[in-house]
Amino acid sequence: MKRAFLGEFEEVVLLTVAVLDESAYGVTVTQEIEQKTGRAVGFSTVHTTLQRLEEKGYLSSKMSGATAERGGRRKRFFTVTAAGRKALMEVKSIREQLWDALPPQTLQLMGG
Amino acid sequence: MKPIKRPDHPNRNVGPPPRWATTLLGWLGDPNTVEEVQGDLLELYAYWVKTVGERKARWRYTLSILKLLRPLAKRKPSNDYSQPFFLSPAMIRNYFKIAIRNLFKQKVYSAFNLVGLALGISCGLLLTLHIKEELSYEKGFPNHDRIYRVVSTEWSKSSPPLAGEMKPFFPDIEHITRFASRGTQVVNSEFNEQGESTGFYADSSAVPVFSLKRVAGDPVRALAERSSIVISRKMAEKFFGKRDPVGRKLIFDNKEELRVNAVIEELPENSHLKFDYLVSMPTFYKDVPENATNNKGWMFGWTYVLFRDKAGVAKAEKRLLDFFKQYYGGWPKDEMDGIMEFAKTVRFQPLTDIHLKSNLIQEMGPNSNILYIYVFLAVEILILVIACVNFINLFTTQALKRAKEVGMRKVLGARKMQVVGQFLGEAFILTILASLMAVFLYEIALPFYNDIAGKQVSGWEIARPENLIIIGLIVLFVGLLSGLFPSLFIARFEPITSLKADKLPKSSANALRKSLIVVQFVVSAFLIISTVLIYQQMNLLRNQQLGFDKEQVLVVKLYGKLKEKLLLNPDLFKNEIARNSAILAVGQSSNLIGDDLSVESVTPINPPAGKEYPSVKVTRVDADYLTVLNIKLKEGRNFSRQFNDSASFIINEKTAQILDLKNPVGAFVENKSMNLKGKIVGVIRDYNFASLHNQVEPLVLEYKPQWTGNLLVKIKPGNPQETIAFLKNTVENLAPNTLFSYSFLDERMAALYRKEDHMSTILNAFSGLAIVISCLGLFGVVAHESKIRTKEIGIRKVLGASVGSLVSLLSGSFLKLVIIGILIASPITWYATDQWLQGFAYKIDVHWWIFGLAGLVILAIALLTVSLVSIKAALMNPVKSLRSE
Repeated sequence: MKRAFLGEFEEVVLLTVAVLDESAYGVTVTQEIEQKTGRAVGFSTVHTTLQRLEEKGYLSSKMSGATAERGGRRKRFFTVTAAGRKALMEVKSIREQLWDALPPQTLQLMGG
Repeated sequence: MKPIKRPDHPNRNVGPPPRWATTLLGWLGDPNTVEEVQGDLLELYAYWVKTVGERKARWRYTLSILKLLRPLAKRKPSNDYSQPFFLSPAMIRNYFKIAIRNLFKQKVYSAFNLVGLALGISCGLLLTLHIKEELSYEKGFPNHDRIYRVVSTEWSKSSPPLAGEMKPFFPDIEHITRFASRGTQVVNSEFNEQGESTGFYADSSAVPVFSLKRVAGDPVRALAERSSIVISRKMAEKFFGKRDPVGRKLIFDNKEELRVNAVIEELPENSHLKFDYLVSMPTFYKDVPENATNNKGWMFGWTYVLFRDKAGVAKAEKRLLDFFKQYYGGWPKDEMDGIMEFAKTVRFQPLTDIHLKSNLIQEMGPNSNILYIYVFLAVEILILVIACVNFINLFTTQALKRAKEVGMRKVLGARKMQVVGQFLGEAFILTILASLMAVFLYEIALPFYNDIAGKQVSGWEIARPENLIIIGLIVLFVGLLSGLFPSLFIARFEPITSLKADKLPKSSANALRKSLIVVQFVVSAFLIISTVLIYQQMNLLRNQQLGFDKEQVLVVKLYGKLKEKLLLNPDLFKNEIARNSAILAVGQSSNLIGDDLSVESVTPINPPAGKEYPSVKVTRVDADYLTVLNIKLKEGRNFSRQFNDSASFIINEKTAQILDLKNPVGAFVENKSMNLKGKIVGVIRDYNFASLHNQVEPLVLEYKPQWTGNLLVKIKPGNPQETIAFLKNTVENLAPNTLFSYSFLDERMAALYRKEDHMSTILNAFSGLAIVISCLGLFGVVAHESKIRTKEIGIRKVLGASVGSLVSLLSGSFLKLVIIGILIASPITWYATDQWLQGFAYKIDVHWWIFGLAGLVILAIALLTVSLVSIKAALMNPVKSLRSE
């Protein structure tokens, strides 16, 4: 089985795109990550990651929605593809398996 | 003042992000994502300004950009839309289909367009081939670029010993050869074949210089022997048929017997050198006294030099003066200055310059003039331009109607270049069709053209590869010139306007069409006015007071036996034929009007010391010469049989003037060239014995019936054929088996202006064509205009406009253009014809009314064209025109 290789940041970006649903483009993704994770992410990092995810086929994009604020330039809106969803699900299930495998006392220790 | 912060549009109130960074991104960012990155960053910048302040925002902005530079990234091919191969067969089929539909939809326009262009191109073809042929003179000789003729600024000939002494002096000379004229003679073969042939005496080195190709015998040896002759293949066939000509005899003028020793191939047609035979130079030396063949002052013939290489010419020219110092070394000291003056003017003239650029004294034959090449080239370009302009006009008009098609194509994804390609392609299809028609027209026109231009161009000539290339070039030139502008213009249409508009895009196209019409009529008016002026000038030449009577004068050439018998006792023959009442007078002369006359030195006896007299032209005549030509004596008397006139002279007024003779009659003069001293017995009025290109020159007549070669017979008007038959009979009786060769003096004189006549006729034809093509274009444009204004005309009619006022409405604006064209053309034409007329000693006055008249004619033709369309439009039933859509 071909496994999806998603880096941690890639996973965050992919998830964020999924969260933002229809309105995911460079700016919103950056802002969303900043707000949700509280860490300062560079726009360039987000942009590069989005490009990479599209190349991998987890995202598709189309151009639209020019505004005056952007100097008349269009936005590139991203949506998660079927492959992207599958990859996210896989990552999630791996995580869950791992969490499930965690002995309860350890969990309590951590929680404590 | 502090900017007021407005959170919605923060970037309007704070400073912009660092511009250099933005620019840098534009240059070096990844071209595939640069648009959204720029947008995102602007948006983020505004957000950052709001959240972390402007200074930090700028910092982040710059940092992001620096991180995003991808200087080596290339644009990936976009695959948003599939872009089919632009030359896909389906599209090409579509282009052809649309082109053909359009062609047939507008039959009249297409026909006009095609015919106009075809006419233009066929003119172009004819003139190109004509010019090409003129320029091809002498190129048939393999050595043509190394052959030079020794000439001075005045003379085309040089002296007999020149060649022999030149060869050892100049090491760069490979061969040197001389030609001396023999003129036209009657030739008889052993088999009683008889005919006139023209030839030269020539050195044996003529064979290597002109690469004469041997057919039989050895031409080099033949030209080195005495009484030996080399004949051309054609002459061999004429005199010997299928028999072997080598070793046979030919008899010239019934007295000179020469042996045929070799046969050579015909010379290239395009050469100033034309002969049927060459007689060996030793024969010349045998017949001519030694003091003549050694005479370094006798311009006896033409000397041609073959250099080893082209560089040798310049070297040799530098040493020419040294050579002449040696050549004329033995001459009397007092004449040396004059001789050296002459020697300074001697040069090597390239063989290829002779046909077009040489007009010296005693050329081998009449040459053409480079000026005529320029004239023809100009006419060709002008006519092609008119035809192209026509095409542009009609094609643009047509294309404007297809604005919707262009709009639709663009909406469906056609790129600008595709539209340009389509229309340019259509223009080329039309041009190619037109040139096919043009080739057809050309084949039809060729016989007429050959006739008026005096050329022998064959119809197959056009199929030669280089001529096909020329046709290709003309098609390319015309297609590009006429197709490029309309297609670029059409391709610029905005799809939305062209699909929406009932009104077609106007503006520049209209102004352009109008200025093109003006251009067309400038050219047409120029051609027509200059044609009229040239025609007038030719008429003047024909009807100029020549000072003698050229009408009804028959010229009989004296040959062999006839000449012998006649010169023995001229009066006997003259009396014999004078009994015929149709013959009014009979005279004799050595040369005819328009011939190159002998140039001799005639001066008063004992002239004042140091006085130099220009040389004069001399003709030998008999006592009846002046009577036949009706030349008036100013004073003194005519030659007469009653006196011993063998040492008498008759001079013209010009000679009296240059010899400074106050009382010419009775004065004694000396012909130094002939060593003849005698008295002037009469002075005649100046008459034009040469062509009217020149002023009358000094002329001296000598009474030497024995030296004459032409019989001039003045006949009664009426039935010349009968008189000619009678003359022929009489000649036959006197000298059986002699060729009777005659011509009319006025026809011979017309031949003097043949070049101008040809040019005049060709210009006539072509300027006629120019106006036809222009009018075709005018017709098309006016028809288009009245079609557009159909409704307007309908409304005007309904509101009571008369047909007349409608016609003037439609025609007026176009006639204005024609008038502007004529006004522009007039001064240009005046200047150009004035330049041309400088070449004539006798010229017409250029009157303003000629311009007026020609202008009126052009205007009338244009009016006719325009009114044809506009009357039709004005007569249309308004009900129909208002309903039309």
